[in-house]
Amino acid sequence: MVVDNLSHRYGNGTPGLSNISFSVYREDFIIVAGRNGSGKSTLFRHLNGLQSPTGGRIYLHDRPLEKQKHMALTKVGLIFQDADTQIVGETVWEDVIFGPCNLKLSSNDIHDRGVQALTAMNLLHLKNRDPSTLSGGEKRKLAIAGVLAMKPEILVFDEPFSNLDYPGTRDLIASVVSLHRAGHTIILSTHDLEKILFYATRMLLLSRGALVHDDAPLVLLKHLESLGIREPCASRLGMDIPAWDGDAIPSFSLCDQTGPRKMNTFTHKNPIMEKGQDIPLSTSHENTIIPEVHHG
Amino acid sequence: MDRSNAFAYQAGISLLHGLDVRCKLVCMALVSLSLLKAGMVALGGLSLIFFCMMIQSGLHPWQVMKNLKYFLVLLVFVFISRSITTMGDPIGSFMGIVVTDDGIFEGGMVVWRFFLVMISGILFTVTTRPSHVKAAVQWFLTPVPFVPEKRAGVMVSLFLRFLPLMVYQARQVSLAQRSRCGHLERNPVKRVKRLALPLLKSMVQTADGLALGMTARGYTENRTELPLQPSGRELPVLVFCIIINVFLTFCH
Repeated sequence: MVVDNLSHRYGNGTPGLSNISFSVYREDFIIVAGRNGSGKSTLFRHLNGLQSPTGGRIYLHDRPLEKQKHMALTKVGLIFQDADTQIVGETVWEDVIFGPCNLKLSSNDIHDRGVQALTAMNLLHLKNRDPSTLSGGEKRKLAIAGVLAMKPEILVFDEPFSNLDYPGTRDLIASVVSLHRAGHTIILSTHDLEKILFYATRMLLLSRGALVHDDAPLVLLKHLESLGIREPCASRLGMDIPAWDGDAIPSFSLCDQTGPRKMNTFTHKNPIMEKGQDIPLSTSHENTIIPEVHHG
Repeated sequence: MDRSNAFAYQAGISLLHGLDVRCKLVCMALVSLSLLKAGMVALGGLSLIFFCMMIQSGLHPWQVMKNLKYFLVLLVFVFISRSITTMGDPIGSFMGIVVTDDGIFEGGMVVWRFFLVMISGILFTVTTRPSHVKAAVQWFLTPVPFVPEKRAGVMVSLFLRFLPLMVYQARQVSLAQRSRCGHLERNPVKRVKRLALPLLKSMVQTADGLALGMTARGYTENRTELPLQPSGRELPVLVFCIIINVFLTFCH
C-alpha cells in the first residue's frame, strides 16, 4: 500500500490530515502514535476507503483505492476502537459471518470462513453466545474474527488496548503477534507504546494531522514526549524495551539497536509515480513545520 | 450491556424460540385481530395462555410489568377517558364529570385488550432474533411489487436492534442525572427535555457507529441470506392458533 500526499478536510473546512505519505510493505508491523486529535482514526478510515481524501491518493497493489473500494474493504480490515460499534450480529456466529455474507459467498464458504476465524481467535466455543455478554477482551477478539473472516491482508487496529484489563490486553497482544506471524500486515495505533513496541518494525508519529516521523521504533523513542506521547519506562531508564507480556516470543528482536540514532530521511522508488521521480517516504525532519490544524 | 428488558431477544429453547418466525408472525397477527372483538371469557383464557407462554419462554411476569410501567400509565389514561366518555348508568361524579358503570366496563375491556396485544408483541420480540424478523419481512414482501423488501427487512431488524439499546441508554442517562440529583426537578417538561436530548444524541452517535461498522465490513443489500429453518411444529401451532382465533371471535 502506498499513501501518497494524503490530505483530508472535514465538512466545516478544518483540516484533518495534511500531506501524509508513507508506504506499507507485506511484513510491516507499524505503530501509529500521536496525541488525541492528531488524525490517527481519520487516517485509518482512509486506508480502507471508509472516508475519501480531499487531496492525494492511496494505492493498493498499484491501483488507486477509489477504483477498488469494495476490494479495499476486504483487503484492509479495520478494527474499531469501540468493539461494540463493530459487532452487528445477535450471536457470535452471526457476527462473524456478517462479512462473508456481504461478499456473497456460498453457504459452505461462509461456514468455513466463520469456523476458521473463530478458531484463529479461540472463540469457537462461544459461537452461540450473545456478544453483549462477552468480556471486553472477547469482544475485541470477536471484532478481529469478524474482520479475519473477510480474509484481509492488512489489519488496522484503532486503539485496541483501550478499556481492556490486564488478561484481556495480554490475550490481545498474543493474538495480534500471532496474526503478524501468520503473514498479516499490522497497522496499530496506541497511546500505550510499552505494550506493543517490542514487536513493531516501524513507527509513524502524527501531530496535528501531519506525519512528522517515520522510522524504526527505537530510533524515535526520544521524540515521543515532545509530541505528547509517553516514552516507555524502560527507555527512560536507559534499558532495552522488553516484551510487555513477558512470556511471548518476539517476532523479531530490537535489542541489537541501543539508544536513539540520528534521524534518517530516506526516499524510495514509488512504482506508481512517473519513472525516475522519487518521493519521500516520510517527512521525518527534526525541523518539520507542523501545520496548525483544528479538529472538529 | 445489561439486556434484562422485555424488548430484547433472549436466547432460549422454548416452543416459541424454536418456531419459524413466519408462523409466529401469522399467529400474532391472527390473535391481535381477533382480540378486538373478544369478550371477557376469551380474554381470560388468552391471558392464561400468554402467562404460561411467558413462563415457558423464560420471561418473568414481574420483569415484563416493570418494563411496561410507562405503557401501563398510558393504559390508566385510556381507562379514565373511557370511563367518563361512555354513556351508561352513572355511579359517581366529580366536578361535573360523570363516571358510568358501562364506561368502567368498556374501559377495562379496552385496556385488557391493549395489554394482551402488547404481551403478544413482547413474546414475539423476546423469542425471535432480529435477523430472523428481517428474513421473514423480506419473505413476506418479496411478492409485493414496487416494495424494496431487503431495505424494509433491514429497517425492521435495525429498529428491533435499537429498541432495547434505547431502553438501556435511557436508563443510563436517567441514572447519570439521578446521581446529580436530577430527580429532584419537579417540572416534568424539564425532566423530559433533560432525558430526551442526551438520549437522542447518544442514539444518533450509536446509529452512526453502527452504520460505519457495517460499511467497513462491506455491507450490501445483495448479500447471501441464511435460510429460515422451520422446526416442524409450525403446522400444529398454526391449527391451534386458528382454533383460539375462532374461540376469541365467538366466545362473548
